[in-house]
Amino acid sequence: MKNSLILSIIALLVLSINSKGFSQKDAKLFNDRRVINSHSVEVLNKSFLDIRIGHRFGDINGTWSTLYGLENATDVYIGADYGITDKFMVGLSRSKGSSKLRMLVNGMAKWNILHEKNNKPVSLTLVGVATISTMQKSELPNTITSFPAFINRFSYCSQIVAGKQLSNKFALQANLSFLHRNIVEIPDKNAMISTGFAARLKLNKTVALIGDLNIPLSGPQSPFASGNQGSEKEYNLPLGLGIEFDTGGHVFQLNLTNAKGIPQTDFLANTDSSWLDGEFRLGFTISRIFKVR
Amino acid sequence: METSVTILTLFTLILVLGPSCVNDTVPEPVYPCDDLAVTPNYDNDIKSIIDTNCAFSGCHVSGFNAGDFSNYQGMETYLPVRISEEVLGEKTMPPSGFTELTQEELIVISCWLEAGYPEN
Repeated sequence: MKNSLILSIIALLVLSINSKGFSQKDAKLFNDRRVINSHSVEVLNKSFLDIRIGHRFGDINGTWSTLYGLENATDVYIGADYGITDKFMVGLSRSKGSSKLRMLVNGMAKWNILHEKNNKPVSLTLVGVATISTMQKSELPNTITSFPAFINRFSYCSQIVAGKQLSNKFALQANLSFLHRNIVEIPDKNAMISTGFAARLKLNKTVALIGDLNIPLSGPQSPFASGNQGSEKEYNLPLGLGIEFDTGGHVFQLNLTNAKGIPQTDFLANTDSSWLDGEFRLGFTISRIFKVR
Repeated sequence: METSVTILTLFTLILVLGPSCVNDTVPEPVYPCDDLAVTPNYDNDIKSIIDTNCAFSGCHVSGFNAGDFSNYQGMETYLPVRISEEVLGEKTMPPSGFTELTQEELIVISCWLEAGYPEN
């Protein structure tokens, strides 16, 4: 785990090394504020409103009975983000929830500290997500949804994201995340550290390939944990691959991912589906930006 | 000016969210629900188990003083705590001498309760 932490820090540092040979005229590393499941380094400009709708269908191995997962929904996300300044944005969303905690309301704040378009060697962004489960309290004692205290409904994720445009067509970013859930089932741990990577390969003016991978570094979810720390639950690394269309007014991302949830507070610790077993799903995200004033 | 707005907002968020972290845990569930393809409901999954093991002549049917379990409405009074305690916890139901519930049946009942015991 210690080695992995060092590796992810090295990755962040490598991305900070300057590279030349591409135009930075108003260059954006990523077209959208998200890369499938991960936050990108990008933020909204001041007074821009982004209405976002995301959907994750059921497992693609669901056969004809569920039209290969298309008749199921593992998560549905509806939200709005708003640029308070050119470098700072906030967001509020509601998602169905893919784990035992459902009816999630997610608050988000994102601060772009450095950006390559301002002749900085690297783009650097801080992200904070706070989630509350608004589901009905279970009367069954000793269950995660019994919510012994109101505060147990909350979970948080803080991230630092570093991105770098490596060529005119290719951008790469890495993140380091700290996730805290106020209630978990033993032997799970309340706090979890993870790292993640996302990339975008521009094919032409409107189409790009995108991908993201997140790797827990602590807790029973981590592939580096010895013996999975006694957990009966299976955990798989959330991996997403997709294609992004920029139609001018909309950004449309079509993806395949094994993550069921959409917010960081949901999918980072709860991805139990395996790509190798066909437990991945089709998903999409539509983003529509408006200038408010 | 813009940096001040950002820092002030972040500072407020930290003040609000900072003290809100606790480290509470609950035991790992004895009956994992993750392997079930769909969430169990009364009509499709529970009624057949109850009819076979509880709601038969002389037991939990109409007129029985400890509840009529032959329909969902009759069971509601005992949901979820009594069923959870007596069927899953202490296992006093079904009583000794009667057929025990299988592990699969216990998982279905447990997951049904955990999902909020939907009727259909």
